[in-house]
Amino acid sequence: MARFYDTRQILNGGQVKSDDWNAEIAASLSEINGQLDQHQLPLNSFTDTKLVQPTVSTQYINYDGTYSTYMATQSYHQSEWLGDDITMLYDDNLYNGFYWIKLQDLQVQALGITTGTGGGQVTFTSQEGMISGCAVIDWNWFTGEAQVTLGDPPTTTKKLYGRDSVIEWGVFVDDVLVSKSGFIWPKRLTLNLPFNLPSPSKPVRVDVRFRIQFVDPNAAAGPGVSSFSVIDANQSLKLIGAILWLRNEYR
Amino acid sequence: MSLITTAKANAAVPGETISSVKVNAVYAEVATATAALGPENTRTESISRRHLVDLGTNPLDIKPTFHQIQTTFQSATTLTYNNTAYADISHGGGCIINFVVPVVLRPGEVLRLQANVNMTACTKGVDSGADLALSRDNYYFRFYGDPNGVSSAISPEFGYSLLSNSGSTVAAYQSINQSYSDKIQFQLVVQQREGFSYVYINKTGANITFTNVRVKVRVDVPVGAATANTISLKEFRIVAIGAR
Repeated sequence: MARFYDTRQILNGGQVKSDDWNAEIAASLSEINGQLDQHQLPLNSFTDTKLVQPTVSTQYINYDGTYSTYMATQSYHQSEWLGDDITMLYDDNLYNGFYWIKLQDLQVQALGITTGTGGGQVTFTSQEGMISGCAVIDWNWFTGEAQVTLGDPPTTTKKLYGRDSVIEWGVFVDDVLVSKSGFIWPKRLTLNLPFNLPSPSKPVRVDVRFRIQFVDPNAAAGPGVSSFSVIDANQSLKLIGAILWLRNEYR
Repeated sequence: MSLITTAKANAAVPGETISSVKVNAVYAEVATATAALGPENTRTESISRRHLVDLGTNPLDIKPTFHQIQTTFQSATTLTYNNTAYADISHGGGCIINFVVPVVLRPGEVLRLQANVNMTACTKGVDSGADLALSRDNYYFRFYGDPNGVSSAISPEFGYSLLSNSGSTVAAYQSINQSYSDKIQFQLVVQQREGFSYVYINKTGANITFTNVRVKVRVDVPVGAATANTISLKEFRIVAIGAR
């Protein structure tokens, strides 16, 4: 609060008039009644019991699964998806070459927005400070298996025809890439993709995207190959689970 | 507190000399009210970060914005695992945090967990006719805890594969050693340090108490009469923070 100086000083041996005293006490109390400020509060003195309890928000739970808890100095936001596996093949409508695809689009395409979303996007009201979090995605990028006939005389061998194809995962905040995995070759993996960035005071959307290299089996024969047939298993991306969580630490 | 509303000792008769009784009554009101200062007594943003008891360096202290931060790690010993049900990572003292002070999550509070485990080697199980050990080539980690005294999983499981073509069911394809991602027939990849994280939010309306959190591990249940694959685990680290 602003410093308060007495204006009607009471002299030694003098008589206190109610008007004078009332004015002095009213001025002092007006500071207590809502004007207390940093200067009146001792540093390093507030314990956890003095802080407000978190406020939970499920405002976006039906949209992208975001569960938010707003605390005194920070907020945490989480969306997770543990539904049925989702499989994507080379002829998927979302695939148009090695470009970023929103994970939530894949979920919506497979299962619909009311039951399929979660773990792919978080929407929340950010405050100025820092955002840090992780996308934790469990997936299987499968090579694809084909029989290939080549040479003269022709010989037939089995081939993992997508073994050189890569997948890359990224986290976008308001459509800006803030973290990416780099290329990953086929395997099953739970990717833990951290991100960290300054945050504004506004609604913020964080979402997970991937880009992927599918081999079109119809064009995979190649030089010297007389026969190419995917008889066992197609190259595929299988989404098994997804968690997106973040912390917004206020300034 | 409620605001102090009586701010005058003798408002009815201005100019009158104040009695000690009336003055003392005002002081008593002030004393009572200021003993319970609340948000309505302060300016907006009057409490800064430096007013919080959070400046100590002891990570085990219970602080305003988090309960404590604890970590367990080891890097010396190795042990093999081929259990198909979740079991503790027991080597090196165990991949577990026993909280010095139980973490009590009030509604809306968060237990933040991060861990990594290094898999240093793996061995294929034994095939049995058409039942192939590598048809089930995954292994999993998962966070466990004891919310309110009940030991249970508190996160989804995090899966990883031994093969590059994980899930393959044909021996000829499984044995193709072509990919850098193949761990069991490795060309380049030998050790895999798997990292994972989770935030456990108390979504109930009551407190939840944790006295420990841990990481457990399992491998896939083998198909038919085949036996399970084996993995060797060495270094691990687990970190837990109770946030509020």
